[in-house]
Amino acid sequence: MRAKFIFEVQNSQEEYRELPVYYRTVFMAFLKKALSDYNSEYFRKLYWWEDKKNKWQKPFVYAVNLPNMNFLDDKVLFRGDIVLNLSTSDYEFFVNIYNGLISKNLYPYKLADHCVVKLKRSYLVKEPDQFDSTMTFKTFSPVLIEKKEGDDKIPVLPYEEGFEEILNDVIDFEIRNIRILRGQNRGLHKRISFKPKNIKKTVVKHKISEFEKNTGKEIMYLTGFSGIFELSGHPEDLKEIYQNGLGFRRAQGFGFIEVAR
Amino acid sequence: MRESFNFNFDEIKESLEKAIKENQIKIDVFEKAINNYKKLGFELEKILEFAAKNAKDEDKVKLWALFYEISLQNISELCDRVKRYGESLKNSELYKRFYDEDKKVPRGIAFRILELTRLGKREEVFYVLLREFVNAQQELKHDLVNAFNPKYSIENFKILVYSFMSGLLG
Repeated sequence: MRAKFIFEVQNSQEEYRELPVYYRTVFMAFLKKALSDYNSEYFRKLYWWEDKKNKWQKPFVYAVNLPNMNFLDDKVLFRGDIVLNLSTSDYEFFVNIYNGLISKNLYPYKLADHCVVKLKRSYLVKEPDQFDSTMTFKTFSPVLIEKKEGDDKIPVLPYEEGFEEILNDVIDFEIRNIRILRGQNRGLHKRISFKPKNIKKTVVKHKISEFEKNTGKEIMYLTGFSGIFELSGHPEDLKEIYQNGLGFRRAQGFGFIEVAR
Repeated sequence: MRESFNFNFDEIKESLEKAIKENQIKIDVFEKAINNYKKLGFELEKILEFAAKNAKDEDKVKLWALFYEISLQNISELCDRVKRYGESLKNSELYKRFYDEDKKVPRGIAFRILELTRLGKREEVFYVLLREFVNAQQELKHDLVNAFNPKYSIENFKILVYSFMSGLLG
């Protein structure tokens, strides 16, 4: 299921509102707060493994739309309401996050120094009635595909050699992990083939505590791609990718895709 | 916010007996004990389901049998809960989406849900109900979500949805 949550920025006299350039991280913290305030037991199950962080794939993806956005140094300026797109195949997750996000106790919520938000409205987005074996998608947020080389993770882009192979490994792992959460140990039904239609390389500034702790650097640069592409495979697998996102860091605001009409 | 659950039978029994002996019977303490007992039933059902899924051979069969026994007992409690939940939503934004207060009749969407339920279309009913909750920005309680759990038969699913709707519109 897929929903939009629309937030208005409160008490801002300025025409342009601002958020840090790593605004995806800000929203990640917001979603975690909503989830843990509403159902701390479920939150712990999803994000923690006893006292360690749970690296298990999360069964959701989100993307943030900031209208009329402009990047200025380490800030992003925007004008209008913030739209949070959220998609998942997991009913339990959806009900918990939805109840958390509509809770009146959560608001006003301070996303950043000059950005305090309140929920304006929410609605479900109609999903395609049927998934075919070949479908065209467009990205709402960049897709990150990486391969491991030693201890490092190297980004792989669609025109590079071996991309499709790595993409299949990544999707198979993601889908298997998510299906295990609902008791099915099954990866891809069929190999996925990827056909770029109109895509471009995208570099994103991102921030996570683990990176900061390990490297001493505040901002990390992530390379991915965005645009329009075609996927062919089993319809059930395409539905799973549509609902839970594509690639790495889906629960950090990457890999949200929509069917291109 | 959802509250966590702790159940210590000996402690509860002791405090109830003590209250009787001292002639200080408080109804709410008994009510709390009964509610905790019912909650324990649901917790046991969850644990048994997990155990049955992970067991093998003969144990699996025996655990599923125990699961169905407790699950059946819990269904009637769940029916009461979703009915009460429906009743609690009267005069809410959600209620207005289901009931035309000017004409004093249920709206078309209520009949649509009843018809889809009659046909046993679990996913469609969930989607339509969820859509109405999201549009009304109304909290969706887990008791109602449980009605859509595939572990319940279609007949049980129908009973649960009818209970909710009768609470809401009745």
